[in-house]
Amino acid sequence: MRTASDQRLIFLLLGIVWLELSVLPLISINQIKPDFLFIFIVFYAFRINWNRVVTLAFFVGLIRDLLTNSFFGLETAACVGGAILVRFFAIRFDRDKRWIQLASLFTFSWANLLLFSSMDFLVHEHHHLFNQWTLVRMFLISVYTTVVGIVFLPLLEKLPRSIFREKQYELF
Amino acid sequence: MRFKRSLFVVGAMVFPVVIGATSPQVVEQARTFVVAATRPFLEFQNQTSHFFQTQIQYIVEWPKLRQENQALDFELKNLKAELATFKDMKRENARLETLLKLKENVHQKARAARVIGRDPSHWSQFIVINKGFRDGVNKNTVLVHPDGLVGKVVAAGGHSARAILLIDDQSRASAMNERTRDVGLVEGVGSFTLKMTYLDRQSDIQIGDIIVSSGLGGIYPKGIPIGKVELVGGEKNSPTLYAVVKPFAPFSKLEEVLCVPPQTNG
Repeated sequence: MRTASDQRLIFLLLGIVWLELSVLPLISINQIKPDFLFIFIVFYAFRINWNRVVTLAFFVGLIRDLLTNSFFGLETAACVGGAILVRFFAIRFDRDKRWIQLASLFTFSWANLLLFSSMDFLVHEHHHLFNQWTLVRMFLISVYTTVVGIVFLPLLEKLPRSIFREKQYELF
Repeated sequence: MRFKRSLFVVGAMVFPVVIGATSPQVVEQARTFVVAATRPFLEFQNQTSHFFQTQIQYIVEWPKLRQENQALDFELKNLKAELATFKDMKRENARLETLLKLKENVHQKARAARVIGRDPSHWSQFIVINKGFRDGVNKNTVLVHPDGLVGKVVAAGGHSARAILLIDDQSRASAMNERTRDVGLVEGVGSFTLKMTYLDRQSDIQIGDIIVSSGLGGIYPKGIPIGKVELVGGEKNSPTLYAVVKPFAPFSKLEEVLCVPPQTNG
C-alpha cells in the first residue's frame, strides 16, 4: 500500500516539476513567478502526511538543485528548513482551514527564499541578494505563490487526495 | 527518536551542501546528465507550445492578413530594389574591411540554437539550449541574440547545453563604451538591468551611451552590443564610476540564440 502510494507521489511530483519547467516562464512577471513545488509541499503537509514532509522537501530540494545553476545543496537546505516550519504549522493548527494553509504557504515561501538568500550570501563572493529589490522580490514571489495557491490547493485536493488516502488522525 | 530525527534534518540540510562544496565536478556532471535526460521532454513541450502559439496567432491575425498581404507586396518590391543597392554596399564594405585588416567580431562557425528550458529557481538565471558538444557547442561558447549579447555556455551535453545569462548575478563580461572606448566590467545584479563597474572617474560616460563587449576577457568577442547606459553614478571616495546598463537582449522572451565559439578558440 505504502509502495503504491509512493510511486503515485513520484509521478505526481514529476508532473509538478514538468509544470514548473513549462508553465512558469509563461506566467512570470518581471522575474516574479509562483512556485508549484512550494504549494505541493504545503499541500502534502496539510492534507496528506505532515510526518514525512521533511523527507519530501529533501527530495524536492534535490530536484531543484539538479535543475538550477545555483550552488549545489542550497535549494535542498532551504526546502528542508522551510519544511520544518510547515510541519510545525501542520501539527499546531487546524489543517482543514484554508486560510491557515494559505498563511503557511506564504510563510513557507518567504522562509525558503530568505534561507536560500542567507546561505547564498555565505558561499558567494559577489552577492547582490540583500538589496532592497531582492527583499521586495521575496515578498512578491511569496504573494504570487499564495495567490496561485488559492486556485492550486483546492485543485490538488480534488485530484490526488483520492489517490493517496492516507489518514492523519491523532488521538487527543 | 527525537535525536534521530534532528540528526536526519541536520544531515538533509548539510550533506548536499558538502557535496556541492567538495565535488563541484560531480555536481556539474549530474546536472549535465539531468539536462540531457530531460531534453526530449523539454524539446517536445517547447515545440508543442510553439505550435499552439503560432496557431493562436494565425487565428488572431486572420482578418488583417489580406490588407497586410497587399502592403507587404508593395514593400517587397521596394525592398528588392533596396537589396540590389545593399549588395553593392556589402561588396564595397568587404573590400574596405580587407583593406583596413579589421578582425571579424563574430566567428564564422556560429550556429543557431533553440531555447528549450529555463531556470526554475528564483535567483539564478540560466537557460537550456538544444545544441551540445556534438553540434560544436562547448563550454564557454558565447550566446548572441540579434539584439545583443546573451551569455555563455557553462556545461555542454551531447545535444543540449546549459548557459548562464548575462543578467545572472554570477555573470561578468569585459565591456567598453562604444563612443569613448572606456573599458569596464559588466555584471549581472539579479534583475533585468546590468551594472558596469571599474569605470575610470575621468571617463566621459553619459546616459544613452552604447556598451559593447571589449574582447579583453578572452571569451566574449569584441564589439557585440550589450546595452544602453541608463544611469551613471559613483561613490564619494571611490576612484571609479559605475553605470546602470539596460541590456538589449530580451532575456525574458528568448526563443532562439546564436552560438559563437569563444574568442580563445578563434
